[in-house]
Amino acid sequence: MAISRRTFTLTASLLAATTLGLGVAHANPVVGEPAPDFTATTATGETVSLSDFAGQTVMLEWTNHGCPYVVRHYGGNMQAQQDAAAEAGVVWIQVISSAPGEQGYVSAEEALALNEERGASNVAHIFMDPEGVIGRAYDARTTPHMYVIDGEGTLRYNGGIDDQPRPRAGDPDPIPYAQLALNAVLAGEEVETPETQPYGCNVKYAG
Amino acid sequence: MLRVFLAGCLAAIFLAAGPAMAQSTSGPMVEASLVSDRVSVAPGETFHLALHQDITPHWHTYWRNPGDSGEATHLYLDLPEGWSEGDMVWPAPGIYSLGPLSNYGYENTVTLPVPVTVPADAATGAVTITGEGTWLVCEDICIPEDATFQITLQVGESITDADGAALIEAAYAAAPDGSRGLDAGLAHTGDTLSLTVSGDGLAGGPDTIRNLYFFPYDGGVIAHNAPQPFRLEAGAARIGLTPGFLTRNAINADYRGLLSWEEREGGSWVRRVAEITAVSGESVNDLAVPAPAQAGGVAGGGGTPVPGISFWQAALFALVGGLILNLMPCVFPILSMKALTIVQKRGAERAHARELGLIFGAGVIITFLVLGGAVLGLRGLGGMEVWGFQLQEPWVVAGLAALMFLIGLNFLGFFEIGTSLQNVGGNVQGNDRSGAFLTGVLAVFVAAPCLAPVMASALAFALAQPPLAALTIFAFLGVGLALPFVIVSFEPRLLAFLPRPGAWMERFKQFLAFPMFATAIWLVWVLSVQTGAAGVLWILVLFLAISFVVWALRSTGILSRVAGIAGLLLAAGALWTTANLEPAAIAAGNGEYEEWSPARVAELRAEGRPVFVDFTAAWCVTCQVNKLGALADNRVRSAFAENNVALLRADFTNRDPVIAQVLADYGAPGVPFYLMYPAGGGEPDILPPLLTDTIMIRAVEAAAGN
Repeated sequence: MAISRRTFTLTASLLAATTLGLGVAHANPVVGEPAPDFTATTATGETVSLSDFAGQTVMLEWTNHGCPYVVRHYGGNMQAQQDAAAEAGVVWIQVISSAPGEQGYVSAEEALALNEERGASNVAHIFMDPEGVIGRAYDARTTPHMYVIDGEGTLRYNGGIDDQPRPRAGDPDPIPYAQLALNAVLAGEEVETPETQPYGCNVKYAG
Repeated sequence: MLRVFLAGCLAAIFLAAGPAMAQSTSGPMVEASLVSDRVSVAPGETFHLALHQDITPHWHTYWRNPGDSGEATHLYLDLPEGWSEGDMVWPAPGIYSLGPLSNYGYENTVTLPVPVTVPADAATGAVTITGEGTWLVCEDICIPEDATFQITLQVGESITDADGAALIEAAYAAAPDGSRGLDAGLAHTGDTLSLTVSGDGLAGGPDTIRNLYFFPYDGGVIAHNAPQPFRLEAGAARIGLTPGFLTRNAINADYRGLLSWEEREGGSWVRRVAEITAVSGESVNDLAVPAPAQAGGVAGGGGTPVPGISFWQAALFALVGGLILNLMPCVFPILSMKALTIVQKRGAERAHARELGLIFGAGVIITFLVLGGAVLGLRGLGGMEVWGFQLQEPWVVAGLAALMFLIGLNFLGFFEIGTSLQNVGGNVQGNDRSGAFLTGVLAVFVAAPCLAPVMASALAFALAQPPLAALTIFAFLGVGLALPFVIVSFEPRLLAFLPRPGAWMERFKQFLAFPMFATAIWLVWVLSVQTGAAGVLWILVLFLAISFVVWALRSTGILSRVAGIAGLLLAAGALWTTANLEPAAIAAGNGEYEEWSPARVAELRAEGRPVFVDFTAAWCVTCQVNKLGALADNRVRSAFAENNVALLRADFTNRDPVIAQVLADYGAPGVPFYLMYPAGGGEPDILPPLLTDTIMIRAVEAAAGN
């Protein structure tokens, strides 16, 4: 029973990935189930798929350098999280799903140059996803939108980077959901809050 | 520049509005201000402060649950010691879809009130309250904006601020006022959620209620971008929802939200909202689970956005649309005719020209009002609320064709009406006046088929309005159409720009006969599509008869009179016969296109094919332009073929209640109307009325999932 459900979900996810935006509503990746597989072209020209990262913990970060929320987190918070993750052996992957002509769409060279400018030196890969194939398979809705995948390929976190779209002076510190989830996975523990509502700019999909 | 100017005006208005109105602050995309419904408050009373936003057209700010992305608007008030604030009141939002994402929010303007209670022991005198607003405003891109406000109120007597109170009352009117007697439950049905709702608020049932939609207060309760199919009976509804992360495995809380629907009131559909609390795991009725969003979109209209333009914007659109109509091919010949009359009135005739211009304008506006009234009346009867319908009547088409033919003959000098060019403006002012009025009437009738593409938005709005508002929109269309000629007739300096009279005028008038004949040919073709060969026969008999009448009446003998009357009888007979012809069975499926029916759409979608539907009519000029242009383009046709797109055509040349219903369901005021159903299910894309090859290829690829 468990196996058949797993197989079903995997098949459904793959189907969703190949049929793109159609039936998107039903393509939500499910925490605790295998993460949707993908084949991606990276900014350095490699072709990689999820299975290449077997045994490693993966963080997916949807990004758009023109989005003010992304800009705010790249004020230092995002780089700090990337550095800490790299230290722990996490594969940190940025995904750019902006369609050509939309905000955040960049060439591979520009994407690499952006990270250099921002001092984001611990990003393992940048996935160029102008058709939105990976974005739609993961139901990525905002920038930033974060996903944690464990070494067995199971999706463990899906949601916002934290709980505060607009921190104001005097507010309590944000709860860094994505980082907490990553730390829990690395420590072999349950993720306390495995799904949250992400905030930010909409992902600028084609069409 | 204009924005800066407008911002200046707004600021001036706010400053002029008195001490209770805080200064307006502007981000680049939102003009925001803090408004109060009191200039002065009494100790112990509860009043309202509100964040009021003027949003740049096409941009939106967000509701309390922004949907798939975005950020809710916040207002932080720094109140004096002892004062307290309640929860923000949120007017019902609209739905904004961007690609696969759906958001909930507001366009144009919104007022978000917060109740504030003054302590009973508050000291009298002036009190200054500061506040900070934060919001995200998005179109294609997003800009987080914020502003700080300051407002000074008196404590003492309770004195209303009329402007602020009006805004705040309007916000309350658009927000839910309790549950309208509705009980609700949320339970799993297999992989989907069922929201069941029962109570008096839905007593009208499917006859008077449509477009049910549930807006949850929390993100994560449902997938916001999923269609919400529903089943509805008197007093009960069941809505199919796709679970979000909070509800996928178990429903652990009673989720609150806003239930929105449209209810028929008199002749129009009015939006209603209720705040419901969906009790976890319960079903409050036994209605069957609704079918997944169906192909025809008739019952699954959950995704239909509520028309998002304000009344005055719609009126402005109507005005601009009316102005644009002056340039349309189906209006220009008529207006040229009018131009001719005005060209003739120079010098001493100016006063008369002015009068004629005004009468022409009155003719246009009155005709629009009469037509608007008729449309509203027919809407009450159901099924006919579609613009351009008067050309669905063969006798109207035949009559107009005959009129065009007659005017053409007149221009060519075959006969003169009332007077010759030499003594225009002499003792025949009466004729001129009625002529000017009738020109106005005629301009509107001929303009109607051109209206839909220009005016889709304003008309959709008008048709969803209470009668008085709808009529105002119609009147503004008339004002726009008439304005240029009224201005020319009024402003002698503009008249001076017109060329001097001379022999060219006669040539010009003769030349205008040809657009008239061309229009007549087009109308004959429309009639041939409507009624087949018999209609063509009878309209040509009509042409014969009226030209015979004109010829006979050119001489004054008794015999000519008799011949003229005989000709008139023949003309009337021909028109009567045309009116009673059986409508031809229109072969809507021609060439690559099959004939449309909701069942055929469902069948083709079940095969997993993308489906393109062309809602068209012979009398619709824009439809023909699209058919011969973008739809005939080789690249578009090969895109259709490559992606296995099923092509259907729905012909609205003659009356068809099924087509009228579908158009009404999508809020389309008429044809052209194009739907592209994606392969694999989901709501169809509504394509713009004027198609280009790029639009079509993008739509095909999106529907096929490339």
